[in-house]
Amino acid sequence: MIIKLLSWSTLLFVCMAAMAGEGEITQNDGFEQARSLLKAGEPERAMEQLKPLLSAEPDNASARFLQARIHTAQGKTGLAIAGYEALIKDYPDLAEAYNNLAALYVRQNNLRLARLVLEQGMKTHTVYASLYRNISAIYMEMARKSYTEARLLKQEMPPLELQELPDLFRAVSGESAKSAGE
Amino acid sequence: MKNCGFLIALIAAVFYGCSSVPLSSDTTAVHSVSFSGGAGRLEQHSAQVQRALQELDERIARYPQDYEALLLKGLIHFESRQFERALAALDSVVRQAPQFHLAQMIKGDILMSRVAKVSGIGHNALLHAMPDSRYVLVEDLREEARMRLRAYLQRQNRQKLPGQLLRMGESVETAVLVDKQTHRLYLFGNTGVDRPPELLYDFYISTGRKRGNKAWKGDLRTPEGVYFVTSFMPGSQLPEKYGAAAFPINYPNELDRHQRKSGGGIWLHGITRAFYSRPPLDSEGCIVLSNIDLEQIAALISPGSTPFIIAGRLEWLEEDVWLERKNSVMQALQIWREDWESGDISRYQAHYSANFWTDESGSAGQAGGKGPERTGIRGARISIDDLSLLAYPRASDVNQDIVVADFRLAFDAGGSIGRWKKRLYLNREQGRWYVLHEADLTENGVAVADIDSLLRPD
Repeated sequence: MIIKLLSWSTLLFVCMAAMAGEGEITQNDGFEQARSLLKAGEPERAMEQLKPLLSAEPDNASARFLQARIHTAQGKTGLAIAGYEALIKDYPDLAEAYNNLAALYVRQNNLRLARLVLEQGMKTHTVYASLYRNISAIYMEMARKSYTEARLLKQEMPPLELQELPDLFRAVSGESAKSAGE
Repeated sequence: MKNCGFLIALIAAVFYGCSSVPLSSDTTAVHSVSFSGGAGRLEQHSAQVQRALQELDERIARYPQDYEALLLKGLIHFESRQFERALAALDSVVRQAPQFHLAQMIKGDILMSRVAKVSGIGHNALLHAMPDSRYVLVEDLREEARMRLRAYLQRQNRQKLPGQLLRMGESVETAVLVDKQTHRLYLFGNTGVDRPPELLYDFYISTGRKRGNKAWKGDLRTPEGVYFVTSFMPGSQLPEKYGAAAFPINYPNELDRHQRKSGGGIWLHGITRAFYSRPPLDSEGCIVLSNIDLEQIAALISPGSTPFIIAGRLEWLEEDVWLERKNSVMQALQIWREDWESGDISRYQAHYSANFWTDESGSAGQAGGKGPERTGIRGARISIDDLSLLAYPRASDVNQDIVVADFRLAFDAGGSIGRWKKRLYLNREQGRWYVLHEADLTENGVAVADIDSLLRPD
């Protein structure tokens, strides 16, 4: 009963959207609807909505990202992984793709790959890499302090200094991020 | 052992590896992925975690200085990937007890898990870089962790009764039981005549550097047997290294002296103020307790009265087995008393073992199964009260079923009235209890021969 009701309302929504859009930019509507359907737990119908956009713009990163998420929701982990990998190949600084790919590797119990992917993801932006390095340094320093309190280590380290960033980085490309991150 | 699966997982996580994905936090996509076992297992796991945490909270509510419970909470949070909570618990421990070096190390391990592979307590790159001579300290702390965790795992034994503590006399308020294998000290309270004793406290302790039963002076071993606390020394009158207080016990006791054991000065004592705890095998034979725990129980220990039983491994019995054991000794003592009252010397002497021994100190008696020379006085009235029954722990050199009966005896034969403390060593031989040794004690519970042997501690 509830499912029926839901289907009806969705259908109504789709019709209204089609009328309102007057046939214009339906592909973008398709993207938003696909997102909502995926959120509502209907990956099959989400995929249907997304297909026109994907065939019209096979390079659309957002659409491909959403496609991989739909595959994940459908339990098609292999397809989802292939999707993210291809996306990363075409858009090397898409940190979100690294993040989600790592989640899939963990699901496959592959912590080693997940870790590598996350570390690569961190390198997509100098800022991410720097934040990660700095928070790691702080954890390490806190651990060192605890070990010193435990009388295991001696306090003979120079004081901790965090790495500072020289500039503001906005919309850094993958290429320059890599060179800046060295 | 209802929590068994979860607890084994905890031990495994702590000792056999727990690498962590860098920057994974409780909210990231990586972390939201459920356990491979599916939702059912996840729910079961979290129910076990909740139960374990609740149990530890109850421990802390009973005894707010139970830093071990707080440490365990931290480890459980860590095991269930609650990094922030684990860190908060450990922060709380080291804020209250900064000298708790094990807690400091585990806090370091938890922090290190964010940046590097941590494959167990004290196992990571930062500590592995230490020189071997100092790495020993890590191994000591790891041993302490192992002991504390193992005791935590075995805590379900608490439903059972201590096989060594069969009865506490009316004037005996508490009894101390020590398990050398699990490195625990249990303080039991007397809940009334013929009611099972109640566990009041349960602490981690350190014992002698060498394993096994003590035999001679300087062997660095902790003795095993039925002892009593003989005196009390406040920390103010002691060298700093003994911490808050010291309670000497009567090693060597009657049986030890019969076995020609040497040494002395076995104490329960605290720790230098710079430390919260010491490694499991660290003393020269004494039993070492955290100052804070010792201060908590010091007022509950009465020199001259509190039994102090040390076992390689304490026995934990079901209530019916425990009762059966107690009742069989009670019955034997009753018949011993009646046969003494009867004035029939042969009936009385039949209670004495062929291995009966007398003290060279001149405690009345003769060897060879006859027992003390005692003229039978028909019509004498003999009563036993304030009876404690303490079962001897099995040890490599005590492979017999021995129970120490400690009681007050009143003797009334017309005008002749006597009242004194007695200690019998009873031995079960072919299903019957026989007296192995009989000692008359002074009022403070020290055997007559013991009085001038208050030695410096081992």
